[in-house]
Amino acid sequence: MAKTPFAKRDEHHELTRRALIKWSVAAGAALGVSRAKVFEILERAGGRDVAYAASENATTRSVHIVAGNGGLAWFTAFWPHNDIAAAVPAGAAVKPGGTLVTGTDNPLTLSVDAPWKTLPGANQVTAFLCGNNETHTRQPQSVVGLNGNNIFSVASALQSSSPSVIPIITIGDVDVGTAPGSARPANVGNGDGIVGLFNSAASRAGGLLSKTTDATLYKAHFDAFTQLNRAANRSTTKIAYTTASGAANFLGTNLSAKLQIVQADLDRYMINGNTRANVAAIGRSLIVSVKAFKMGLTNSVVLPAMDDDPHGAWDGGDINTVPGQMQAVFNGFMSDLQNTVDDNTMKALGDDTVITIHGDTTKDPLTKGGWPDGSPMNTNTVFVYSAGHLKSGWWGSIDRAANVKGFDAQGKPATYSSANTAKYAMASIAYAIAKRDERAISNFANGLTISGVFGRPKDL
Amino acid sequence: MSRIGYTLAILASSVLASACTDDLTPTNTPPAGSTSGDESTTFDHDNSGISPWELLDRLTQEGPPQYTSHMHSCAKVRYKTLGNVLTSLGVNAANATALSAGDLYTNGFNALGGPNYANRIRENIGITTSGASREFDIFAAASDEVIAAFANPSSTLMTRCPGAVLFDANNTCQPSGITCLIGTPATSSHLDFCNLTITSASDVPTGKRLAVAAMLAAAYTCE
Repeated sequence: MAKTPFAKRDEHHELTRRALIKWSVAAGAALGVSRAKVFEILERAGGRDVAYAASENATTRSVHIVAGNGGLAWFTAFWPHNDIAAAVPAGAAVKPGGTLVTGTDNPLTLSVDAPWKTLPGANQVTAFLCGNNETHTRQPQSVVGLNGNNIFSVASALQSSSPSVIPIITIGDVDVGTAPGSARPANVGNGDGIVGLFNSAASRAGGLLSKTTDATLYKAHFDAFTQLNRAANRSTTKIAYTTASGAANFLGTNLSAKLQIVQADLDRYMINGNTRANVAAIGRSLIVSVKAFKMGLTNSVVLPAMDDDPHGAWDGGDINTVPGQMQAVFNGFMSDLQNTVDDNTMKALGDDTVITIHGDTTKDPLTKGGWPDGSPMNTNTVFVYSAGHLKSGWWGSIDRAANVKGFDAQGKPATYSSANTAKYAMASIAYAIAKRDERAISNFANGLTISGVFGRPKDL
Repeated sequence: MSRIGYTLAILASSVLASACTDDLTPTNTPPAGSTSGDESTTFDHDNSGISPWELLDRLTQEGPPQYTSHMHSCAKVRYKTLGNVLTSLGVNAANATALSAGDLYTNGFNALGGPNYANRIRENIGITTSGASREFDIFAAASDEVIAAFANPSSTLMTRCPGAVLFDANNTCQPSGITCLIGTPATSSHLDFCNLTITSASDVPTGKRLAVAAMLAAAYTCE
C-alpha cells in the first residue's frame, strides 16, 4: 500500500538528514578538516540530533597484525596458555611470573612481558585457539577466513558506513582477500609509506597547489572541465566523477606534516637504535596509523609483523630482549590510542579501535629448545583487543600435558575443530568491529550468534 | 410521490451519502486472509521509486543499462596507459628526478592501483581517491613539461599535433592546443574556462600550469 504523505515526508526528511551527514563528514574527511568543526556546523544547521547522529561511528577502526613466518610465536610470550603459565613445566616455552588477570570473562594470564597490563579485565585481550598451524607462510588463511570471505576485507566492508579517504591500507605483502562490499586497499611498502598516501607533491611548499587560492581554483575548474565531458552526468559515471572530484580537492591538502613520524613519537614507543628492525617497523606503522585514524583518513591498517621464525629465541636469549621491546611498542600504541581523541567522534581512539593479531604458527608452547614449529593438535591462535566488545580471556586451551580443548558455538568446551573455532573467532572480530551489531555481520556470519556468547550484548 | 418529489429525494439522499463517506467502511476492504491491508497490518511498500517517465527519458538518452554500462562506464586509466598518455604529451615518464611527473608515476604504482601479478591481483579498474589524487598529482607535476613540449617542434606531443598552439603571446588559450591535450575537439566553454583559470590564478605562469593540470585531470579521469 502506498505510504501516507506524512510517512513519505518523514522518510524524505531522514534521507536528507543521512545525506547531509554523509556528505558533510566525507567532505571534512577529504579535506582533512577537523570533523568537530563539521559537527559544529551541522549542529547549527541541522540541530543537535543531527550533529549527535553524525558524531557516532557505526563501526570501530581496526588494526590487523599478520605475524607470519613464525612471528606469532612472539605474541605467545605476552599471553601464554593459562595452565602452562601456572605450571611452568620444565622445558616449556613460557617464562615464570605470569599472573592471572582479575575481571576477565575467561581466565587470561599476562606474562611478565605482556603489554596493556593496566587495562581493566573486561578490556583485556580475547584469545581464540582456532584455525590450523600453517607453518612458514606470511599469508595464513585458516585464521582469517569467515565463510569464504577474508576478515580484513569483511572489516573494510563493515567500515564502509564510516567515511574515510582511503578505507583500508595494507603494508608490504599482507593478503586481505575479498569480501562483498569491501574497499580495494591502498598498498604501501612500510609504515612511513602511509604518509605518502596523503601527501601530494602539488601541495608541498613550492608546488603548484601550495597556495590555498590556487588549490581552490584547481578544484573548481576541474569540476567545470569534467562537466564538459558528455558522459559526466550519466548515471553510470556519477560515482566515479564524485570520487575524482574529492581527489581533486584532496590534492590541494597536504597532511604529511601531521602524519610524519617525529622523534617524540619514537620516544613514546621507546624505539631507538637498540630496537630490533622488525619491532621498530611495527612501531612506525602503528604511530602513523594512530595519526591517520585521528584525522579520519583511513579505517583500517593491515600490517605484517616479525616474520623472523624465531627457533632460537629461547636458546639464544632473544626471549629476554625482544618481547620487552615489543611490549614497549604496544604499550606506546595503546597509550596513543587512549590519549588521542578521534576528530570524527570526539572520543578516545582506544574505545573505538579493534586490534587483531594473526599468524601461521604459535610454535610448540611446551618445548622451548629450538622452539619447534609444530603445535599440539595443529592448533593456531588469534589474539584480539576488542575495545570491550568481546568477552576477554581464552577460548580454548592447551594444558601442561598438551591436551587441547576447543569450543563450540555456545562457547562451551568441545573437541578442537580448527574450522569451526576459526569461524567463531572471525565472526567475533566482525562483531567487535560492528560494535556489537549482530545484524550488520549477518551477511558474513551466516547465522552464527556472537552476542551473549563470545561478545557482550549490545547496550539498549 | 410525484416525479419531482422522487427526483428531489434521490438528489438529497446522494448528497447525504457523499457527505458521510468518511464514516463508511471502504468498499475495497480486502477479503479475510488477504495479504494486503493497511500500514499497520502489512508491509509498507515504497511506491515512491523511480518515475517511469524519468526512466524512459534516461533510457532514450543513454540507451539500455547493458549498453550504457559498456559505453559510459568510468574505469580508471590503467597504469600502463597513463604512462603512454604521459609520453604522448611530451612528458618523460622515466624521469627519476624527485617529485617530477616521471618520478611520481614510477613510484605511484601501488597508489594508482597497478596490477600485482605475483599475488594474482589484477589491476584495479575502479576510481579510488588515492589513485585519482596520485594521477592528478602527476598531471600537476607534468604541466611544466607539457607547456614546454608545445614549444618544442621535435617533441612527441608536437609530432602528434603538428602546428598546435596552447597559449598565444597574450597568454590566451587556443583551441588547437586544448584539442591536442584532451583528445576531443575544444569547445568555446573549454576556452572560456581555460582563460578564466589563467586570469584567476595567483599569477599567469601558475594559471597556465593550473589550466593544463585541470584539463588533463578532467580529460583522463576515465579511461
